Amino acid sequence: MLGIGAALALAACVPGQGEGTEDPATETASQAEGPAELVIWTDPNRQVGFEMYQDENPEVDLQIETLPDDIESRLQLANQAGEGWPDMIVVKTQQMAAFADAPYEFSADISPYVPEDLLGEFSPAILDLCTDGDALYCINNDLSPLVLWYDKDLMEEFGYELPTTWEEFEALGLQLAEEHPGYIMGHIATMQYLPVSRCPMAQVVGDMSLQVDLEDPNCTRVFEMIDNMLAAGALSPMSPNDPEFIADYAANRHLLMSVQPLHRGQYGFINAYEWPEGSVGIAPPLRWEDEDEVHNYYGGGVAYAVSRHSEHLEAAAELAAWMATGPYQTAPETPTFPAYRPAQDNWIENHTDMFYVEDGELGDVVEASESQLSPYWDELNVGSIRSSYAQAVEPGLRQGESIFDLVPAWQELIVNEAQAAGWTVEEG
Amino acid sequence: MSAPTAVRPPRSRSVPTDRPSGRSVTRGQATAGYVLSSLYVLLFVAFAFLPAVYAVYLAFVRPGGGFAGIGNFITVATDFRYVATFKNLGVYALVFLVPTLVISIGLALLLHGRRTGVASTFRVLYYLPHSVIGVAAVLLWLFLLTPRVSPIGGLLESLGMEQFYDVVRPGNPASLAVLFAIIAVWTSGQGILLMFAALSSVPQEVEEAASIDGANAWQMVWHIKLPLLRKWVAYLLITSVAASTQLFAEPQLMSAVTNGAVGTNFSPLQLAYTFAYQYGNFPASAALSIQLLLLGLGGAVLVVKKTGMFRVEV
Repeated sequence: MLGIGAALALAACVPGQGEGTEDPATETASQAEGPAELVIWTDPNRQVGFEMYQDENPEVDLQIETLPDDIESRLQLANQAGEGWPDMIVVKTQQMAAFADAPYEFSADISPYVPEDLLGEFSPAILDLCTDGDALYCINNDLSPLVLWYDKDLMEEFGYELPTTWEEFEALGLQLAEEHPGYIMGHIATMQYLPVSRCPMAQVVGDMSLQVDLEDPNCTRVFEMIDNMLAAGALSPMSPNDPEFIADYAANRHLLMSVQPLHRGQYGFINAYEWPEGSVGIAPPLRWEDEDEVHNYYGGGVAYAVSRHSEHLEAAAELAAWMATGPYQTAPETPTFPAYRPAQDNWIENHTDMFYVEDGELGDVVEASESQLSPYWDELNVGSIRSSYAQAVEPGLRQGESIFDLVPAWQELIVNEAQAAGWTVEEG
Repeated sequence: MSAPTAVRPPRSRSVPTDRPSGRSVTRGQATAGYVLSSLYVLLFVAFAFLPAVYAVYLAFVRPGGGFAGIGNFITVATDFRYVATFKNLGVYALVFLVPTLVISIGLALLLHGRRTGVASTFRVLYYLPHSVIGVAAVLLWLFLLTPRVSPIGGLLESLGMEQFYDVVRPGNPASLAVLFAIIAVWTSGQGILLMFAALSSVPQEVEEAASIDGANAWQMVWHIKLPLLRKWVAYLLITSVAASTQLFAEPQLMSAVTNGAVGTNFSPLQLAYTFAYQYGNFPASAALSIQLLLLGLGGAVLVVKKTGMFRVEV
């Protein structure tokens, strides 16, 4: 078999995988009259929202299908079959832009059906993920901007001050490692430190064209910080959900602070790490010393996309807007932080007793984190690029290697994965 | 694609020369045979044969339509993961096949000749692991291989493996392939049953004749039982080769539990999945699947030729 492969490889011509995709079918299906019947593919979390809508709007018939994590393959199968698309799906961050383009060509532009003033009420930048020029390919449900979580009791005991810059974060980590060995400043969250530092890991610079440059100073300053803190023992190479991490650092309160998304306060620190309410401190995101502003990043978040094959575009777009901005966003069943700003106050109120804020109120910290979002990283739906870090870097870090030694192989993997998916890549 | 069901076990009993008594098949028996096998044939055609034919068609069509020649095969073969996936498959197949055969034949030989009660008890015991296969088996193994929660955690830790990553070593494809093979070998109970059944069909007279001639247990195994098992070993080999080309669930799940540290393109079948469902390139996916089918078929042809599996002994 390998022989055949080698022989085939000798034939010079290499057709790109983008073939047959030059003709993006942006046209929508012809619209049907009468009461709408909408097929919904949702994740389990959002199901209750659709059920609320059904109760309020009995004239619309919702067929709600709760799917495991395989929406992409189901869409591809529907595309291949030429039928069987749902009217609406719940999409993840990296799918928001991707599902409008090849090879999915699924999301419809719903801007004609959504009032513009409604869109003005969303957290800035989060809607960028759903828009392309004037077109609106989805509506965001929630977001989870990065914040600095810390152990309020431990900070008081050690007498440290909260860092506001990455340089202070590193310095405090080195001090902590020396004065209190065994205590850490969280896990190595490279994939969150890098976009905050605006490192061009996989940056879209044109149509199907990427820049990949891990030697950029915006990347190397992060690698230096990681290596210094790792060598001192101030960061853990494990993931914050590893049972070992929880046992060794989190549950026994050896975790002084940790950069993690907003939703982790309740689901990580209180539920999984079992810290008492009021001991979980929250502080605004960090900036680099020579920069005036924070370029914050986020973890997670979903949106609603409507099918361009739907015969009830208007009804589906109305449902999408309702899910993102309606009463579902302030219902007690809604676990997430709303992307729709008028609904955020409710979330802040519900979480005020849970978290400790040193200066000011929870609302201030939350606003600082969501208003300074700057999603420098384009979200590519090349799954293997997002997981390339886990594949090329993480195992080595766990074996105690320096991140600088692992970066060349990582860059090579990103470039290979991008090219295999049909992208042209500029390095450097 | 090359489902093991595609290859039927040799029906040596139906070869007339095996039974010179000359019992002929009556019309009624023939009808019953057709009826009983028709359901299988129908399902086989619908869910194995026709999809395979469709895959062959797809493999020569351009993603946007039109004849592609060998374009899709070139796309697949020039993918940077292509060679690596087949290397992984090679290591896996080797580490899976050899112990499977040795264990199946060896344990069946040990069981054969034991008292019925003992033999049937052990048959059940050997088959038990086979009741936990696929995804469930992998989950069980993940539990076993996580030092903090594993019942053999002490053993792992005494070997210097304190974390799941120390055991699984996601950066090392060869060690992963061996791990997947071990998970697969664990379920070779079916092979043991097959071999045991085959041994039971060795005519009593032959064994008696051999022991009258003074053959000891070893000679009996080497000169009587193993040669008579040849066709069954061939069958086991064919189905096992075909099964090993289908490595998918184990690495896929391992990728999920390691948050991607084990990539999603460990085996060729996973790469085919990536082509279809990540790139939307079904023709390239079909081109890769066909290569796996050919691999299974090629293995079968080789085994049949070497062992004379369908040769009728007179």
